[in-house]
Amino acid sequence: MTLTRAETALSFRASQLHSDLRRKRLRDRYIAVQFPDLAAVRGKSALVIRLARELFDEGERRLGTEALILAVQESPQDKSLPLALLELAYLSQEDTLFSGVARYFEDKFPDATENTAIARMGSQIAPRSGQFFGRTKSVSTMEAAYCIPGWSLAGSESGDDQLRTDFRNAMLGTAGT
Amino acid sequence: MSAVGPFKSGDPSDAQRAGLENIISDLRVASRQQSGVSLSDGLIWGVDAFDALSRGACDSALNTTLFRSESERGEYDWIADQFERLALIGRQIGERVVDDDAIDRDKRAHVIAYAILLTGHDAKWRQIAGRGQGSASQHHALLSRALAAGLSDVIVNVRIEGEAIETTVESLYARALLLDRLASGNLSPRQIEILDNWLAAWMPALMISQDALEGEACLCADLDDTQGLRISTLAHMRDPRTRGHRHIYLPIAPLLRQLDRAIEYFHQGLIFPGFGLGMAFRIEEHLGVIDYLSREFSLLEHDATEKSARHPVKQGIDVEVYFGMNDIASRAIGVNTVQPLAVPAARDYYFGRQDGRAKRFVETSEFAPFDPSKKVLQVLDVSESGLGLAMSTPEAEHVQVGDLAAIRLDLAMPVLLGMVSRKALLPGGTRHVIGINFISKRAKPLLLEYADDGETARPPASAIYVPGEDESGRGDSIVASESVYRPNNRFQVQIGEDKFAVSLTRIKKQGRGWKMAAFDVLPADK
Repeated sequence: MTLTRAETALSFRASQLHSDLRRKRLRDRYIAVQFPDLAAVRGKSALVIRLARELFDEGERRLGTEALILAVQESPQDKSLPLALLELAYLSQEDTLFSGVARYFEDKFPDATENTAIARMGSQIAPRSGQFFGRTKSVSTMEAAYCIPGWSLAGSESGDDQLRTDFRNAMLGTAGT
Repeated sequence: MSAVGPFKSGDPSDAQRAGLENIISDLRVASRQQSGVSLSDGLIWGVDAFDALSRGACDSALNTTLFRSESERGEYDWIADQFERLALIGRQIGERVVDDDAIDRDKRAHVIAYAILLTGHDAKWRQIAGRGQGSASQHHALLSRALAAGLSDVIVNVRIEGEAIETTVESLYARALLLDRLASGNLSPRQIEILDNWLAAWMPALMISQDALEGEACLCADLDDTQGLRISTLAHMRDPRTRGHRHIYLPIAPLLRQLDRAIEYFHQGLIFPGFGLGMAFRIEEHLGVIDYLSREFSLLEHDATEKSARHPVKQGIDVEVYFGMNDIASRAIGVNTVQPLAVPAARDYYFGRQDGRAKRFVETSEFAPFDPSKKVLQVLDVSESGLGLAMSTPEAEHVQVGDLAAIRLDLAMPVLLGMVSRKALLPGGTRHVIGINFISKRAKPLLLEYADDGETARPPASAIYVPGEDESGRGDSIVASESVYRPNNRFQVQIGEDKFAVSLTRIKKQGRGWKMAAFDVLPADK
């Protein structure tokens, strides 16, 4: 899921299907088949964000975005999910997606402190957009570009990284090289 | 004209077949004996009647099992034959009425629209019946006539699978070309039908332009050529051989937005587009179409050059190919055929305890001098990302898009792991091209030992380690049999003196009988 349609997709609420079991089953089946791993962590925002970030890192940007949108549709009160989506859009320089999700976030969470950071990121990714223009103090381009809030890193584990590398080296016979 | 009752679900009877054949015969007679408005009305009436009557036959043919018998294949052929005949008559009538000023402009546009709708049906059923891609000339000829007569953008209503669709000749032309391009070997018959249902719903987005759109990724077609849609590149536009040719361009971004719209339907618990034979197919078939189109459109949109160019190979180059998880894991990956006798004929594995001592399981399939699972296939083309192989049609019956494959290019080289990404009939009809997309050129064999839980311990499972790009190991994966994969199931892996525990997590790719999963590495059990 990408770009201009993302905002519409974010506004859909999975709870609307509670009274329609046939449609609910179809949605569940779709998620189970398309995102078997998402089905296993539904409702656990940190794990959903980790999954989306992994997909993004592997070049599956559309699937990572879609996994987060599905999660927002199920947990609209959880602001960590649209924030992770914003960060992925920022990292991939998808200005249309970023602007759409930023509008959604500001509408749903007008008092969130993250709105300042979103405006700063927005002025970087879409400098000519009226949506972000003049809403934040100017900061140097270099400084702003390196300020990634880490919203898409929630749920990431780091403790097993050394073991992972050891395993790879052992498999490829490159240990000690 | 003939009229028989509509087909019910199930095999069409002889009378029903006769009804459809009569419609075509009547139209053929009408095309010779009639002219003007009555001929135009005859075509529109005839095609609508054919659409209604043929739906049961199409439904029956598409709902057959995965492996079809001769008679079921005959059913595809019969339907494809009828659409081919109907398309020919439609073209002939279209050519006759397109410049007939005695006929109202809207009516002429309507007739040309129906004629091009039929060439699209013909293109679709050619692919479903496995006849391969036809010439795009029939689509080009009709569009050229419609453009010349100023009829190409007149809005008309056509009936597709009973649904009234508002469209234009241009959109129907784009639909026919997209069916030709997208359905060529990558999709199953049911998925081709689903794709066509989607294209019918996407008509407003199927807008073509006669000028290249600056800064926008497009597909293009040369109206003075026999080929269909191809990636629009600067090199092609500057090619002196095509100077003076007429081109049309189809932007990709609107198609991506339409794909997103289809995905939104599934989010909302609905099957897109809400009509057509595809509505009854399993959700997996729809997801196959989503996956394929996402990949294809994204590649086209981002950069035409990302899809590596295929280079034909001189005849005579053969490679060893294995299909299927079990044969690949036990006979291809990691097995050294340069010195086959050096490979141990049997290995023994711990699988449980008896009287406090370990029982052993002996595996004997490590290597077989005569290996029936090995296929020697001819290479047709190569690219950075894959290979095209020729396979006899009876053998190709057993290979499906999504199957795991392993290729040995040379005895001294490591085996390449890949998956079947394309299957299409080659001209001549006796061989198929099987497209293999490489997954890894550095895959290694691996044994996954189940956790020791006493008497229920099982022999280890053969698997394949696939290193990713990232040196940290974050992008690495394990390919395992479908029966082995369980999310978060913990296995022990012994590599030389080192022992690790791994837990398979997210599925990255999958096909018939196999899954490729990310994994976490954990401290080994003591």
